[in-house]
Amino acid sequence: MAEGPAGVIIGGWPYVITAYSITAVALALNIARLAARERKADKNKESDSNG
Amino acid sequence: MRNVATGIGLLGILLLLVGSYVGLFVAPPERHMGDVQRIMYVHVPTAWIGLLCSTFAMIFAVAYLWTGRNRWDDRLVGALEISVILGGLLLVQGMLWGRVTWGIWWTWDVRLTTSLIMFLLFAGVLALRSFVEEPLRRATWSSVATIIAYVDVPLVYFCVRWFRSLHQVQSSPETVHSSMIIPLRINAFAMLFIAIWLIAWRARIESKSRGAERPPERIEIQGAQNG
Amino acid sequence: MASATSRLPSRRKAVFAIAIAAIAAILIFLAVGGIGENLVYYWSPSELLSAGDQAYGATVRLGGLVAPGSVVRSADGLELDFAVTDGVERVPVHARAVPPAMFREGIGVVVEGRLSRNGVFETKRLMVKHDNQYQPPSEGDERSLEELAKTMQLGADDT
Repeated sequence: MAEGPAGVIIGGWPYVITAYSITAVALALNIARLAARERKADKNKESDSNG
Repeated sequence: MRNVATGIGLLGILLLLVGSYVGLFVAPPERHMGDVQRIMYVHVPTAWIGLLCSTFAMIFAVAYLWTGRNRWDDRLVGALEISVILGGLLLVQGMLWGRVTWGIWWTWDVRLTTSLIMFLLFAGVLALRSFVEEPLRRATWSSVATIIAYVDVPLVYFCVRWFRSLHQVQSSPETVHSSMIIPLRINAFAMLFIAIWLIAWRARIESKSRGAERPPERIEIQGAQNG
Repeated sequence: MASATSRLPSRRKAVFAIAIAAIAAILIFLAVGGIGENLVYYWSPSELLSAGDQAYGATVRLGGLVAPGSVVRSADGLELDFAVTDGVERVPVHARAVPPAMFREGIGVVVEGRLSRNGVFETKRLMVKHDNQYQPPSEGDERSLEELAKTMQLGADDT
């Protein structure tokens, strides 16, 4: 971290970007997981009613 | 219902984008923390909605034990999953923020310890679910386990007022400048809408796969009574 | 039950093993790590000094404000002397640590280490404790040392 006026954090953007990115990626992965799971459930249901 | 839930979810994503834009680029830096304080606009909503979702999970668990209806077990899975996701994110965001402001990634103070325990307990309930095959037993066990795990949730919230910790006590509109409250509130509503959407969606999927693996509950109960 | 377990797919077994390990880890932490000990996360300078002989030698955390005018940094920036105060007592601290950027006079700190016989608290782990105030740069902090010291007390808002 760069030195600035005493007691003030200068920089730190990489930490901010990491926190927001990890949150966004986790939510996106969960949405993708649910979409895949729903497709699978729909497929199973279809084959169920056919059989 | 399905379209309503998706609409809420899309609104949530839109709000999260707006709130994060305001938090990252419009709100002022903090006088001492500088730009690092911007982590607050994602960390605090994650905490609030994570605790709220685990409260939903506890309510759904009680409702399942009370009524025995599968729909409460479906919603319970949804609430448990989003609680674990937000609980994990909360720890990661907090470690990043703590590294810069406090100077450390982790310490065993009460707030951090109870938060980690909350994450592990709810993850444990999900693991328990995947272990139990029989639907009725799975629903009952996970409801009971959820209620036990919930004991830690009020501790997470109140521990900073009851015990000394490195983590500060809750902020309030009196301690946070109005320009910082705006993105905080936008992202809190965003996270709330996203969580409601994901719980409803996950419950619908659970209900569908339940239909595939088992006959409806009514028939099952009648069969049990006849037998 | 035994037959049901033997029919479990290996992935489920692995997940279950992880869950058991997690719960065991919690219990071990509670028993050995001592959450009870951590309920008093830090001692105030007054408490440390009134503990008498018990204060010496043991690794403890000391929490308080950095006393105004007490900070002396070494030339190489790797060592630091300052005093921690609660508004009543002062404990001199010698830190062999690079302080976090927010370190300044009047801010809350928690230091982990031990009080030596010469009365100096020796630490290698220096943490900044900030309060719940979030303000833009134009807003100066007008609070007195006594008001700031309250933020380090237990249940600061209630007492």
